[in-house]
Amino acid sequence: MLLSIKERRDIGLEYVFEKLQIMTPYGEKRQGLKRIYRPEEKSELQKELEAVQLFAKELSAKAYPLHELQYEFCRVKEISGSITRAQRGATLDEVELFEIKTFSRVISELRRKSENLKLPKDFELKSLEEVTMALDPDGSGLLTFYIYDSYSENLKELRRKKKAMEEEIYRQKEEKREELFSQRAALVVEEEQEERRIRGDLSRIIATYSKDFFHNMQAIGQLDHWIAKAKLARQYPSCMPKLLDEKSIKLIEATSPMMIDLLRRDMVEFQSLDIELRGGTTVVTGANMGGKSVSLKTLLLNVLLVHLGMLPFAKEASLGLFDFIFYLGDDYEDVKSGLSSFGAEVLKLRDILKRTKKEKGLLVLDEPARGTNPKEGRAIVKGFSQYFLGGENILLLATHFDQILEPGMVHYQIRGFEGVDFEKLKDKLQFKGEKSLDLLRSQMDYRLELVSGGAEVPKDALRICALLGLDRELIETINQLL
Amino acid sequence: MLIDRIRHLRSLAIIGMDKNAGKTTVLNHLIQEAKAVGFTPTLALTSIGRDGEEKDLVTSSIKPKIYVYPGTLVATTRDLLNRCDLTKEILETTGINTPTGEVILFRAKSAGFVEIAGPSNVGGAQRVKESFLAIDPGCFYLVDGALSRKSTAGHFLTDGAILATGASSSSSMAKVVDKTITMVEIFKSPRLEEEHYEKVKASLEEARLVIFGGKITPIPVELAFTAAREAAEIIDKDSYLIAIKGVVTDSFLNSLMSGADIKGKTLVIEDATRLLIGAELWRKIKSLEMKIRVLQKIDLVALTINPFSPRGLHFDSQSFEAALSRRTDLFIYDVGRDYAT
Repeated sequence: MLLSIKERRDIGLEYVFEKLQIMTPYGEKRQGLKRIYRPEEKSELQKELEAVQLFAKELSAKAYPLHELQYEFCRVKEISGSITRAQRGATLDEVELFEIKTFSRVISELRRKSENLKLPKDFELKSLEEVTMALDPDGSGLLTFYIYDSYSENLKELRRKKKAMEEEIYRQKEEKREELFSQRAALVVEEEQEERRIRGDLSRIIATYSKDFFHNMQAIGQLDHWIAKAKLARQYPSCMPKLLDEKSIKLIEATSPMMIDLLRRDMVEFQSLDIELRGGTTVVTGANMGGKSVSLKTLLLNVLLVHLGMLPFAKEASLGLFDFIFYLGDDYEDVKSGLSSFGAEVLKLRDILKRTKKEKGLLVLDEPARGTNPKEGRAIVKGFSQYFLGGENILLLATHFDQILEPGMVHYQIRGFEGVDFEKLKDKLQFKGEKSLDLLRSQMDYRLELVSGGAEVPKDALRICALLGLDRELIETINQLL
Repeated sequence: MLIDRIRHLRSLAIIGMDKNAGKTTVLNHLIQEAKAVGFTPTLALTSIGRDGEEKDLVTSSIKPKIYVYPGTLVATTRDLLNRCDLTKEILETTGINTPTGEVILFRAKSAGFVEIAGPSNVGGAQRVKESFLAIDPGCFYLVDGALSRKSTAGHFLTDGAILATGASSSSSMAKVVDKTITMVEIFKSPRLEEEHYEKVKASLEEARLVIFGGKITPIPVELAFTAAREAAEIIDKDSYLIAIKGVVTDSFLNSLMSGADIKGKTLVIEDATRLLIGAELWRKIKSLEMKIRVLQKIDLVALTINPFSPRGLHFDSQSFEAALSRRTDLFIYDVGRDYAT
């Protein structure tokens, strides 16, 4: 993923990550890998997505048993260090044994509670009953742990003697206690030795199950991660994507949780995105405040989510997998290297162009070269559009330069003020003052529309100027210049 | 007996004026007495505000260990667990980390010696207390508490306290008495009056320093020193109350006083352990007729004295006790003399 953390934040990917309610250290570890499935890993991705889909379905059918699993997750601790130590022949201490006992108990609870659940085919939690029994020799079922008397007669006897001694100490006067304390200390040493021997035995039992422990840690990680992803997939409309072999993308009613939540605060509904992309060049045009960037980000977010093994937020999604996904954002600035924004853009583009020669990628460029002079800027954008025309890489490019389009390129346009009664709107705006912008925004149709034929870039910019009350004479002058 | 002083409480902090004020000895006495009189609640021990035991090793004084009886609940850290020589039933690994490892809760299955340490922040202390109560709702929460100047340090979250003082604090008995009496008087500060209580409490959820006057001004605190200067600029003749969350030190109050007239105004702190100031400044506060109020009242039930200092300068036990009892009517207990049987 060729995205910086800032870009991931901008497109709303980090927002999605933060919304994942992962509960175990193993789930965290799995999510932390942020595994990107490559085109050759399509069947593995298919399995991952099906697992998430399965849990999403289970959640809608019977949420309760899944919550029961999550309750167990709360008790899961990271014990891989202890298991590795046991494998190496080390003697584990009481706290490690306690944590392993808890882990083993959680496994048996998870096994029991998941019996009636539909689980992915090869998913399995290995039984650790032998370990549970070894760590609970009296079968008390309690979740606490100590080196129980029943582990050895010797231990029992030592403790009996020690207890008698301690009672004696309590009964004795201060002066006599010193002597008894040193006798007790000798017993403590013996007890500790016996305990260490027992801990050694227990550690060896645990070591023989180390493979099953590691398997289960991974399995819990999967389960936790799947359920978290499934839960999120149910919070916002999502779908099971269709994975294609060819490099194309089709999204119907795609959304972004971040945008949905942001707009919800302002009581505005997010307008979903419909888009279809194939190898070659696709150009998005639209007015300045028309939401081109949001469309690009929504597309990127959902394509990335699929590559990450998550269900996309769309009504329908079918896409191929890419070798790389490249994004040139709307406010790219490499401050660290001290380059101007244009220079930094060029460097990024230079590197990515090299990759397009050997690999197949999705390139999303949001108004490239917008910082340069219009003449050169237009030529640069045009050059790019032609460069990718007819190729297998997908170039999606938003621009407000006109005269970019050529036969063979796909053109989407933001609907913008299509169908809006300008005279009426103008009247309304007169009374809105500061709120004019909000009103204007609410009248915009942000959806994309496929344009066929040589439609030109719309001149919504001037309309916006007029609506917001820019000097009439000035607007007239501008109009004539056009 | 000391134990008789705490029967009405559910929780207690033993607070030392100084490192070697004899806190652990007091704790041991209490445990002994509890056993002797058949004190019903299970004791649940931890320590808060200490930065590990290493420093005690440096001063190389013999640190008394705590001797507990079967059934006692103990919170300590992973590293100190090995120094507890009794049979332990591990109850919980808390996930709270300290410089000496994760805080672990166990139950004593036999009698024996323990070393205790606990979290050093408010959140951690709260969680340890909750865990104890979850294990045994009737337990008596007993904290070995060091006063700490670190603003992040926890309160002890107890309804009662014993103050331990002794010769290790200073070589001058008069100075020790002065310091101790100051602390005793601070503990006497009343709970904030009902009419202001809720709004002040709520305001401290939002900011660490809040001035109440013509309007309520929260001050975002980063450094205590600059905060005091900022506060001083805001305080005017209409300001009547200054509320502070965290530890209030000499330097903070001095810098506040040099910038603003705080005569007669009310200073609200969370509890008495948050005001860590010397005897001189305390006299100044009194002569300025400032009102010190607390959000949570801690019942100071006894003063324990340890006339011995690890540096070898001992006080005469009787004159030390006499000097203190002239200035307070609090129950005074000499850890070297009265021994519970």
